[in-house]
Amino acid sequence: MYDTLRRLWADDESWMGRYRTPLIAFGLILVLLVISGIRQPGFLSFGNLRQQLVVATFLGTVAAGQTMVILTGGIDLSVAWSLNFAAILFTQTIGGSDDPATIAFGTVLALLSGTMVGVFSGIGVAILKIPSLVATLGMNTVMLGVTLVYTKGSPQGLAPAFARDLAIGRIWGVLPWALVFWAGLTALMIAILKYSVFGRRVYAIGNNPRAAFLSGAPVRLTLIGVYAFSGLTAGMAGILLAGYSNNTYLGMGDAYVLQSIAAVVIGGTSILGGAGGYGGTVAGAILIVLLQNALQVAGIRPAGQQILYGLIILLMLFVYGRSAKVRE
Amino acid sequence: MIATSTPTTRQDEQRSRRLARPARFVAKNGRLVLAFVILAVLLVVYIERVPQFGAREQRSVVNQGMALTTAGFGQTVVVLTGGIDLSVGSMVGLTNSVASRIVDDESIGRVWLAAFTCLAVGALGGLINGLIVAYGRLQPIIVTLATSSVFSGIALYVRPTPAGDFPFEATQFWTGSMGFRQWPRGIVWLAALIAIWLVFRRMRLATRIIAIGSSEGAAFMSGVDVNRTKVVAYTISGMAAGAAGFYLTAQTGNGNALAGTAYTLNSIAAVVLGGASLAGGSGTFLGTIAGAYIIALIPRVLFFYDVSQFYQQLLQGLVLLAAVGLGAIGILRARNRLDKV
Repeated sequence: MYDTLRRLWADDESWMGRYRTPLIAFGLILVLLVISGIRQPGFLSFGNLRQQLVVATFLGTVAAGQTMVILTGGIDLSVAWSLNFAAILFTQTIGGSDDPATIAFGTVLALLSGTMVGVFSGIGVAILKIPSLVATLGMNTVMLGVTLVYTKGSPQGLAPAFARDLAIGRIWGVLPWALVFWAGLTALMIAILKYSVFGRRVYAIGNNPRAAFLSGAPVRLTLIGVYAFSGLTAGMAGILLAGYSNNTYLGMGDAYVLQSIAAVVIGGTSILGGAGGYGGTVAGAILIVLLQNALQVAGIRPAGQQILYGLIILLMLFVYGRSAKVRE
Repeated sequence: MIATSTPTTRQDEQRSRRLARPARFVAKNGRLVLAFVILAVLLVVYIERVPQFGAREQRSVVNQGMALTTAGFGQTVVVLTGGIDLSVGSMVGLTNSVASRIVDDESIGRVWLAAFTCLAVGALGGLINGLIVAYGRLQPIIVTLATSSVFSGIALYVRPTPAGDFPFEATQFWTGSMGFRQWPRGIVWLAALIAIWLVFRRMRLATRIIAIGSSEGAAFMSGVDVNRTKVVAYTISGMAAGAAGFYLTAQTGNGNALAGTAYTLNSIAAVVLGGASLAGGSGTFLGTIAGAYIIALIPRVLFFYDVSQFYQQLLQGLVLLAAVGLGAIGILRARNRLDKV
């Protein structure tokens, strides 16, 4: 039994070998649950775990787009303010109205604004060849500016009932709608990445853009699509977060830039692109949220939380992030 | 990240050989020249509007970009290796907090001690970054992201809430005016940084750093100690961030663990505005100076033109995108379609 498992683990072709890194991440989640469960029995209560999963949904949504961008070998720093602007556009357009048409209009507008931010970053990266770090950093600063000009510093409006239900409502009082949404998004992500031509092109570009181009993949169009998708998921997260806190404020997306990157990397996706997937990112997002909650419950000050958080990411990187030695 | 290289076809080379020397310089360093042009335009527009461009105004212009320029020095060195340092901002915050703990109103004699402690703390943090990146063989972007979380956590222990009273005399010394024509003292520090850069540029270390950034494999094959050079580069970056943290303390008079937050991305923006390539191997600190002062001048220009400060970020982002976008136009002219991928 043990020998069989070890052989499966070492074999890159077997199911265990292929999902090694997500399995490590899920294993770490279990370890974390056991340790904090022993220290603080309330941590393992159904209510708390469900609550943490809902919080992880927001991170997981942003990290869905981030996963795709990182798979192509890029990085998206613009999620913070494309999320924030989409959320503010959402509440300000609807402005507390109950009219279904207004609500639908606000929702479409919010999702569209996120997507457009992604399209612009994508054009910069794919056509102008600006490094993704700079293109998305620039777009982020522009969106911060747009938000400030648009709101004059004080965002208005409340989230409509459907957004509140989506973020905090539960089916029959048990199953949160947010988790249903996340499950759907996960299924969609896995379907796109594993079974669609687009998804295979994403991996091909991440491995070698020139080789992908020479084999006939529309590299530039795919890249623009990937960044647009990242903007779209940032917009979705904006709507969810607006529903969760019932209003919008400046800076609500700031934490999500670094956390989404960390979730992707902890989930085993290579920061250089071409290898990984969304299943690992889901584990990464849950792990980050649970870790923060566990540190909070253990009564560690925010300063200590940050130190441990950084150290744990480093540790995870050492477990499976090392690249080959330079030889040539 | 997709490695980008400026396509140099034979036509390009022939064309640049035909051009006169100054024109060739402009053609080769387009983004660097562009950065200085933008800076000059901003300065002219600014001086035009300011009621009186006297000692006080000169001082505040020089001081405004000083800490960012200092932090940008280190970021330039790391970017030259093809890496990136995302821990610059939290190191600025950490050293800012440390300096404000060492010096208070009664202990002006300890200002130099604080300055050296900031450099030492910065160097230590940078050394740790470098060791993990080089010997751990991990990606710098994610390593420095993780260490930045650690640094700002430590900073929050050192200074949980913003406080401190840096003696006014010391602030006067570091950020005030000199006896000579009331010139801002910051010019001395700026000149010192440029001098350090010019010396550094002639050291074998700089050649090794640029070699690594151009092609790590080739550098390794030619006998460059890749790991040791990287460690030194990150240590320089940490030290520069420490110096920036100290300067910020002298400038603002107090310590704030979160004071450095903007410096991470702004230092990268300054380096990129200055014409360096994030892929490594090309760039200069002189460009970074221009980039840093562009970023520092934008809010001042807006202020004196009575434009709402809400437009500051928008303008800064557009200038950054326009500068890198203009620099990228050569790509569109590439004949070979493979070069466009």
